[in-house]
Amino acid sequence: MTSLRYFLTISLLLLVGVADGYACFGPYFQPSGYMMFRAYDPDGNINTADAVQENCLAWQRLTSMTIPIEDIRYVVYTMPLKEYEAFYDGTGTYLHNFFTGWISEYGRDIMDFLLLAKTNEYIRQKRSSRWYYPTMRIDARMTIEEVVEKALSNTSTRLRDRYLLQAIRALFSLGNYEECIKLWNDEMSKFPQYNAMRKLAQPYIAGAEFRLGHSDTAFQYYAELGDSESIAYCAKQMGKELTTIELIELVHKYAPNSSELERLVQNAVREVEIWNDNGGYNGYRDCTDLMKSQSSALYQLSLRIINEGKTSNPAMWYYTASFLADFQGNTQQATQLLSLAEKAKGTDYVKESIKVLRIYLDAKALPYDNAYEQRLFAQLQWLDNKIKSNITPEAQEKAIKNYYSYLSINKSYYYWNDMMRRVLLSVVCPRMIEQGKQVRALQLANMADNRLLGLVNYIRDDYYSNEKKTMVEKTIPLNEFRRSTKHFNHLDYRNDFFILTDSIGVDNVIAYYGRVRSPKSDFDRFLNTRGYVDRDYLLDIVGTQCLRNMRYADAERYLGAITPSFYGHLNVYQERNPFEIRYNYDYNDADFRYQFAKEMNALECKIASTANPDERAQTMVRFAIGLRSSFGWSWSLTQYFSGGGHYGSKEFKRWHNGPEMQAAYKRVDELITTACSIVTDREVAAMIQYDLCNFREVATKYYDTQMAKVVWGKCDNLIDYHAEKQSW
Amino acid sequence: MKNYTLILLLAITLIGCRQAVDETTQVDQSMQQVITTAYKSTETTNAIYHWKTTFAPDYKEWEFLHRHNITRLYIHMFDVVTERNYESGRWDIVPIATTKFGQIAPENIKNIEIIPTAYITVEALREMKGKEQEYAELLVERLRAMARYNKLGKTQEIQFDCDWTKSTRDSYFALCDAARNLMREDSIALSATIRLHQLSQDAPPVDRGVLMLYNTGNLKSVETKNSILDIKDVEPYLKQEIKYPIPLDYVYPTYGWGVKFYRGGNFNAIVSNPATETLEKGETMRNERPTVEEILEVKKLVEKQLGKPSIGNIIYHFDKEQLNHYTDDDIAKIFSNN
Repeated sequence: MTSLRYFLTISLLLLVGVADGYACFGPYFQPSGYMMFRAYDPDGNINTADAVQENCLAWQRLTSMTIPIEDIRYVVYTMPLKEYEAFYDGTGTYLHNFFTGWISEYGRDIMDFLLLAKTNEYIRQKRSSRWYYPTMRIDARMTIEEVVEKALSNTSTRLRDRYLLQAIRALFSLGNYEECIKLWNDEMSKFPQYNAMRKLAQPYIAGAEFRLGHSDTAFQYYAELGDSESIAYCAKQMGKELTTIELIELVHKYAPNSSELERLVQNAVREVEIWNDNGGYNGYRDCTDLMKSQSSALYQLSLRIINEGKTSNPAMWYYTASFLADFQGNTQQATQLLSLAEKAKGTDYVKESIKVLRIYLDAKALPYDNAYEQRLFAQLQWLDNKIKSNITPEAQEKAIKNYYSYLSINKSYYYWNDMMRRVLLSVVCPRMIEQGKQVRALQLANMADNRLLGLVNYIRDDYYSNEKKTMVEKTIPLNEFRRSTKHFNHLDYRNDFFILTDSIGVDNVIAYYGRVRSPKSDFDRFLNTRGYVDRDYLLDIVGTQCLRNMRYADAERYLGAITPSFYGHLNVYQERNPFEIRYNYDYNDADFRYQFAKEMNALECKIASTANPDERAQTMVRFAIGLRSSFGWSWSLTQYFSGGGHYGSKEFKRWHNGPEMQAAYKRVDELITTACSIVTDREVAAMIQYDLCNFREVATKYYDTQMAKVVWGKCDNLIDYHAEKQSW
Repeated sequence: MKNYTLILLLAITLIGCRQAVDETTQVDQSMQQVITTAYKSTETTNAIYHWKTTFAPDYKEWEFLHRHNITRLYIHMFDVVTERNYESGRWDIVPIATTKFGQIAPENIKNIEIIPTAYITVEALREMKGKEQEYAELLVERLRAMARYNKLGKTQEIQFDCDWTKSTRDSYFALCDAARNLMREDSIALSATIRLHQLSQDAPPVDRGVLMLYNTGNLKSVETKNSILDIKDVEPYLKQEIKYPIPLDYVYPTYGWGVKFYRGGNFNAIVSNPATETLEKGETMRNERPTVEEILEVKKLVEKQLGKPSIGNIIYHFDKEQLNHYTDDDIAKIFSNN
């Protein structure tokens, strides 16, 4: 019951999702802090690198398909003007480049064009330098005015769009905005919309329109280009600092289907998510009000946009409204809006995000009955498939390199795995426990912590190399890491699953172990194969918890079943004999828990079966010393963690002064009191006090015994050990 | 045969070099001639510095120039500083505080020669190491472009102002050398400011120098009597006669300010108008404005040890409010070459 209460406290903390901040470290997020909102597909949008590639491909089509793209890219984008001029004049060194080879033989017009384009860029760059001052001489073979003249006088059809772009660029630099717009209206806009030169010219036209005071036209162009930064900049120039939501509204007004909207909406929602996870802080100040107003304004705007009916992606707006309704605490409203999102038209990308939100809202809202279990099973199968099939080399590398550090602070880095962890750890597991389904909660937590790790199957770790006499970093298979004594196992004893097993109660852990060994359903089997269910690992946890609960016969059974190859690689070790109050460095049994369980079990049996009061008393004292030390200096017999510091946001249970420890200490006191009261032989009584390190007692009360002589022979300033204080 | 070819090539190269050296010397001599000829006709050429970021003198200020026969005007054009580039992570060398020019009536500058001047910080100079040629080109071209664009008349000289020291000397000299070479073709001279502490070192490779006789003391020390000009601060540098390798002119201060100190004597701020400044309890203020007598005392010492100015005397700086503190007679005495 206490364990359940304890775990519920943790779960509530998880649900609140407050990120802690510590000096010298970044913030620690709870599993609820994983970024969930996802609307913008970065792979579905052209970026600068794509535009460069597109242009190089266009040059390839214009010249020869056998010319490598890299050769084209070098000449068009990388080659400095001076080097190109030398090539153009035939005075440069030989270039092993197929593109220059081809154009010098078959494409004089291309050579001329590239000279003009490179000169244009060179001049424009000089003019944009901080050093530039009007009338400054620029070391180029033509002026920018001549660039315009030459570009416009060239009538070559195949290079016309390229020359027009150069003319527009040069005219823009000269501030001749009217002429830029005229060229656009007369010629450039006549090229098809997919024309790369037209696309590259459009931002200049937008800029020209704005400078001439035609802000509406400028916003229209910028919105079509998806350039919201320029819209915000222009609005600021006009004296209006746009909020994120106003910017979204403006882009929607001019281009309701721009993919820029997805990016802006995602940024706005994630901003709110981050502030929320930071407890309403943006790193500098309290922005709780801003967070509320931004989420509310975006929620309203989403509904308004759906009603206007101009968007071709209504699913995204329903999804946004649903997400924000839940964020504002209205899960029922969120569920209804999500149903509309599921039915509405939208991109595949957004549809996937909708499915994730469905899993999350179901987990929050549905009753945890058998029907839900089946639904969750199907949802997890889908999510698991996403984790498996979408893993990128980058995410894989991050998992190998930083698995533990990312896991311990719940840092977002691989969307599908993040979502599984968020749903399971922040919602499903706490609710399962509430419903009394502890075994299921353990299974799910195990999958949440270990699924990605199992897929990646490697870990990068550093350890001290005796050969190299230094720390060495190595990527090793997971199995080798777990069975090696060289590595400190930070993975399996610090994750959420372990923390849950450690606090959920020994009977639940035993039941969980049983379900791992004998699964009852397909869902059990599914979860078992996606968690870390090594038999020895689980046996050790079960056995240790039996020791913690003074169930020595059970402990002996479970710990005795562990294979020897598992010994010695736990996250703790034992170097002190638990049956001696005095420090003994020689004790270093690899299977120290098993040895302890065995002896405690034997002592317990002997106490029950021995009739001789002196022998029984001595057995009781030995048992009592072992029991006390298993929660004291030999705490690793009953625990995996003791102390104050740990890395990350995990809430480890500290067993110090817990009910198990109090029960054990009570029993110790009773045993010692009983032992002292039943002993009949003064020599045995003295030996008992000697074992308890009560040397003064031995010397004064049992002055006539052999043990008293031994004590006097060693020291004349005698004191007693106070077991209750664990000090002299 | 191969050896003979090599020797022949070496000989041609050496002759070529010799010719180049001769040409350089000839140009240097002719440049000196240009400068000397240009200023021979008048007995003294009075000059003044304009060191503000807006150049828009009013009628009275133009009148001041003409009344005092000031025919050379050194105008601060920009500062060259280092600035963190947050994209590249490097330090960029950039011009800042570029002077803005108001409308200039042609008759006002008809007989006035403008000397565009750039102040180069030591940090920028350090960053220029190895790239002096590149920055010399930028400096020269920008100064000339500013003069052209703002119709400041034909540029005959440009000036660099830099507080270089032993550790930055090589870079500064390389910068000056490169700049002078660039301007040689157009017969434009390069001058440089010289600070008192620089007198003991080699002269920079420039055509002329301008010795700064202001800001001679420690501004921030409460012990200082007058940080703008104090003969006691000048004397240590001019203990004996000095034959400075390049022609020198002298700049004298015609400005003043208040220097405010916290209780305890720590420097607080420069106060441009000390008369209206209120002091907190325990604060002190030092009023600094060299008197004409103090300036003339320094002038006497400077001319004794370094000789008469090569072209004329210069005052710092062209600011109506500051110049109002000096009478026409005071100004005439400072400019006087007698």
